[in-house]
Amino acid sequence: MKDIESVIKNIDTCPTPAGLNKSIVSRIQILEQKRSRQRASFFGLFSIVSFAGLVMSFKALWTNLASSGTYEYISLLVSNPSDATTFWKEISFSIIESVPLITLSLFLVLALAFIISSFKTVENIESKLIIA
Amino acid sequence: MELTDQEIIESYIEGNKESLNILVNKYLSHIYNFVKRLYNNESDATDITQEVFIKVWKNIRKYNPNQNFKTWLFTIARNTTVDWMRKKKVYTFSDLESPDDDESFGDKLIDSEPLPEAIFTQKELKTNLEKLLIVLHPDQKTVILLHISEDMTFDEISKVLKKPLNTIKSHYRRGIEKLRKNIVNAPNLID
Repeated sequence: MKDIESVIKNIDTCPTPAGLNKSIVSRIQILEQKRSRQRASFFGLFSIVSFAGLVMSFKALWTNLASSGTYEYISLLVSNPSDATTFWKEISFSIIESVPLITLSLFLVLALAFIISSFKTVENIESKLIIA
Repeated sequence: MELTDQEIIESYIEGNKESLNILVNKYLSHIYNFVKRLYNNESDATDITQEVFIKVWKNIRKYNPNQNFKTWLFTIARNTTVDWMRKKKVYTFSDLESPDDDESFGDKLIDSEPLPEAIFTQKELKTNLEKLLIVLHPDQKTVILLHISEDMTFDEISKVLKKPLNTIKSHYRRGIEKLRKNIVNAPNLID
């Protein structure tokens, strides 16, 4: 078998067609640009939607905080620090109980979604500019 | 100091777009020659090679760093070429599934004595080897090309073809034997 093996081993490598390397790299660049454009559009749209949701959830949170009495407990903390230190446990529990948790959670999730999608949008726009 | 494949990939994922260019340059000739010999069609080999590198780009984030990059790359190259052959109906599905060996393997292996110089010279054989490779099943061709031209071990090739090690060794021996027989029986292949 050695004879055949040595012949195959010593076969001259065929030269690659001229421009094949450039052609591959430019095709990949076109695909990269297309992908960046699609991602930037998707995350851009997502950041707009999440921002609208964020504004609405902020309004709802503000209203709920006002109606739940959380402000009163917080103002008690600020206005009368000596009582606050004496009854810190009771005041803390009252604040936690009065906080509108669902609205607050929704607000935080939307804030996170907005931050991430904005970051991704900028990242993909930058990437598209670098490739271009 | 030359960067390892892993470092080049990491650099690309971190945002250095030039790294992919380095990777393409490093393996372009290997992949092109492998595809060309496996498929035996020069114009399609160019398209297949492009397709291989595009698949590499698409899947580069899925690449497992613990895996040998060359093995991963040649797996993509082999699969892309075989898919292309199926599309072009160069081989039927059943042809590609099992090597066409109607002879029982094992005892029929001939001694590895040198081929008669009267029939051909090494130089002539080199020129016509691609013609001779046509007779081989794609899996046999893959094993022979990867083992001899790319210095890959049978273990690495078994990962490329996703077949047991013994099957790979068997493909290799049968392939070499088939080549030898064809050279002896059809000296007209040598111009």
